[in-house]
Amino acid sequence: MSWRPSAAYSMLKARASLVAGLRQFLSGRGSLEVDVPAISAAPASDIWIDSFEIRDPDGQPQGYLLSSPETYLKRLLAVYAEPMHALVKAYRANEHGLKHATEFTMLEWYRPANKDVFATMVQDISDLVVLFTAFGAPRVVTYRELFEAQFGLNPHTVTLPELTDCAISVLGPGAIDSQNLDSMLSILFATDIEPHLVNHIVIDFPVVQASLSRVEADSFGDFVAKRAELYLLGIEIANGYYELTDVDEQQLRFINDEGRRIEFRRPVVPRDEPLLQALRHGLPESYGVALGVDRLLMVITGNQRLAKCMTFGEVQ
Amino acid sequence: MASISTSGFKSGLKVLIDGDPCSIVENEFVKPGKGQAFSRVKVKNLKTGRVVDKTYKSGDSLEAADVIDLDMDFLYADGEFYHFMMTDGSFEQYAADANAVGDVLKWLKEQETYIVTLFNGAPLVVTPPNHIELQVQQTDPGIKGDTAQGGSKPATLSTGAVVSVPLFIEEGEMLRVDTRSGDYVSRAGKK
Repeated sequence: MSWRPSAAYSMLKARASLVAGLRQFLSGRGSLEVDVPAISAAPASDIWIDSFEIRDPDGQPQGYLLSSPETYLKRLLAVYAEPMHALVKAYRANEHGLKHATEFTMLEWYRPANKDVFATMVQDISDLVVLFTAFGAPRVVTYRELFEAQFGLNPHTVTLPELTDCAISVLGPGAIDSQNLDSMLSILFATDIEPHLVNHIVIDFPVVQASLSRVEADSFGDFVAKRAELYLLGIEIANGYYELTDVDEQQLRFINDEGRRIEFRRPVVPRDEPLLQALRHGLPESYGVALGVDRLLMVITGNQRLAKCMTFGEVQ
Repeated sequence: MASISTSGFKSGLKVLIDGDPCSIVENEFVKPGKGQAFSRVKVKNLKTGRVVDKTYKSGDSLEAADVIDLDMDFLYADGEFYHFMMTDGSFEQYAADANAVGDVLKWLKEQETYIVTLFNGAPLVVTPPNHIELQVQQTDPGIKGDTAQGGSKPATLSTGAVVSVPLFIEEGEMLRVDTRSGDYVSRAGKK
């Protein structure tokens, strides 16, 4: 392994300028930058996010490295109800690849809004693309439109056997033997739709991928997750949630995640009790967006490898 | 043999898929932000040469294939088998069947060094060097005056391969040929 930085000096300059620009973009819209701890007592509950557990020299558990600053920002939001953002290092174990690193830079911002919360969020993301790239305003498309156009299936009502048949015809027999809806949707989306998304904001995700977003009926009467994801040049760059504020619903999602973790033999992790207390105290109507800074830099500089956009990236 | 999980997948790795030895050509880590991680892998079946796409969930594993590439000189053919000998001084010999030699037959020349891929100790594939020097066995004489126009004509080489050569090439000449494209490269001096 080389001792040298993985980024060229010109990349360091592009990075510094992007980070300064992003800070200005948010503070210009009245958002306050806040500092949050790097360790939290409970990690993300999402079954497919592996957090690093921290132990002291005696082997005693000390919490988890943040996979995103979400829990702290929501706790701040519950008390102050003001727009806020944090620029942090986020950590996810077992993620290595041309577009993945276990340690990366994430910008996450939350904004209370009284009306048109979702539309305001989509506009926020769109403004960011116009400001920081040469691509112009992204096209907003629903997950349903994309999935129906590519596979002829409604992603909100499709069954696992139908998806499995579809995956076999697309990826070849025996190519995948996943037993859950979420993963089958993900793999089909990632392999056959994502690469075509050059400047798109995808909205209204399948409920099984709601995570911490609100669920509402769409114009067809199907329940959808109010998420918006930005893709540039086939790369997932940012994702925004119309945040769930209902504490009972949040608790059910945690219980559901724990059940899935057991079902798929993933480690069961402590429940984020402080987050539940914050929701019980009352989270304002709000949206939150998380942006992968290194990935945005990849797109802006036209670099194919995440490691080259990070000062000391993991060399493959 | 050991099994290798997706995190150990890298290009060049030899694995068993449905009993066939395969080589990983490309491995891409795919993971939606909140979704399950996958490896999208391009694998080359070493028996058939076919390249296929496979998708594995992170954590899945494949059996390692007992496949090894060795340098060997081609000795002779006995009508059924093609005999090769290790170049490491061990004089160890291996007999490859027509399947293993395949299309390389047309580049097979005695005393030349080839890469012989062994699967479970038996020759599976024979790979020729990128460039090989072969003698022209038959070619029609070039028509005088045509040389300036850089025309070409077919020439049959000592191994039976037919390559397109410049008009000035004559029978008996040694030529340097690219085995990957089957293209004439240059003259290699007369014999």
